[in-house]
Amino acid sequence: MSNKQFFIERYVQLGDRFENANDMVALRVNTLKISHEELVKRLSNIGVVLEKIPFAKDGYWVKKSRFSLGAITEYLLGCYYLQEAAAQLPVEVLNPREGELVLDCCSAPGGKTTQIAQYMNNKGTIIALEAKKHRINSLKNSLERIGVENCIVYLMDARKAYSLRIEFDKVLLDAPCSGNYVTDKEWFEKRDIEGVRENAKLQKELLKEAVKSLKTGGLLVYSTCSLEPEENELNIAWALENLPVELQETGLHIGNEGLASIFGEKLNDKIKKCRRFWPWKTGTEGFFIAKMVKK
Amino acid sequence: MIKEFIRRFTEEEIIKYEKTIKVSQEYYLVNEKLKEMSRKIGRQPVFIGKFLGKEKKEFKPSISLLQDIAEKTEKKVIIDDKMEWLFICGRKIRAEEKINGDVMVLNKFKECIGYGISDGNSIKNIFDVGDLLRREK
Repeated sequence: MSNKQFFIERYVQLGDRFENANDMVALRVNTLKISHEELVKRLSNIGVVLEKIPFAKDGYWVKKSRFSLGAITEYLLGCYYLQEAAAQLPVEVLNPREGELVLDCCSAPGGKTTQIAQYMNNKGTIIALEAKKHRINSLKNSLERIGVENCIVYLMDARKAYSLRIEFDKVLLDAPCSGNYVTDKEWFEKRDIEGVRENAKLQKELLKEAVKSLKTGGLLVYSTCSLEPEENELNIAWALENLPVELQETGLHIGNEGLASIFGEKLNDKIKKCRRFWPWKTGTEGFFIAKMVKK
Repeated sequence: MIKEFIRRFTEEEIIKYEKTIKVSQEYYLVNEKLKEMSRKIGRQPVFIGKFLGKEKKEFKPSISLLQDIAEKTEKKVIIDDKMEWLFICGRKIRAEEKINGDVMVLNKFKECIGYGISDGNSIKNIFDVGDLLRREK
């Protein structure tokens, strides 16, 4: 059985089918610098057609453009961030507010960090961690471009987040993961189940540390761009068993409920409060979001 | 270095220098809250607060600082779309106004896209926002 057949077989067993899918280019308006109306008008004047993404607060699909949107003045001045549609949702679920203290565990290249700053209107404090030195510059460039002023970045592995000795109001754990076949055309050739399990192990370590760093009653949003249950529902089931957290509804209407039955193994029914994004249904990349509160 | 750079364009106090800190070769404007948090954490950050610019052989301003200076300085020119594209690609452009010396370059929306040195006929590009892309290569 080929790698591709192996993974597709799993998606079918998880209760769905498989279809090839392409995600659309999307952007997020940076409301720190420009309004929706102004950006849509400016881009329209240079032949770029945007369509509002109904489920993403500041998100637009790029329906038509004669050139790359990653090289024009509006991009360079930080009027928008090129960000996939589903990837805009974890921070919406986290809902960070002015005055809060927020931890972003795995922040490079800065799509969600800049989004957190935007929602906080550059007030309060964001601590952003990134473990990989070679990714720090892209994070710093994003923060500069978007005009973030309330963030402190540390080159640091989030598995040591508790050593900061800070209790956070909110934590975003957008965990390193296996990715998905929509954004990586060679995904099926590159990935195997061992790699998925390795990622799941790392994600558990990160989850444990993220929860330790939260104050009681604080909010944790866990997300991946993976379709694999080991990195998603099974990790959340583990968290419910082993960490002082309980699941909350995400408030999202896009996507499907989390899967409470994985290859015959029955999980806590509360897993259904999570959100899973099958690409052929949502028109986005594969994604998973869970919202938890610390007890 | 940052003070000298700003003074090339204006004598006005653009930033409160007592609130700036230097991390390696980079300047940041940091409010009290962030300063306190950083002290509490006790580790060296790689980015903190509002990034102002970096000094190597000379000072390279951040996008934010460019906008702040452009708002206060008289030494600025506004260019059209065609010149704007050339300028953010790092090119020299035609000078429409007779200004000599350091000049901030603004687009038609009055956003600062960089600065250069004008001789009254052309503006030599010293720095533009396209640098953001070039430094990632």
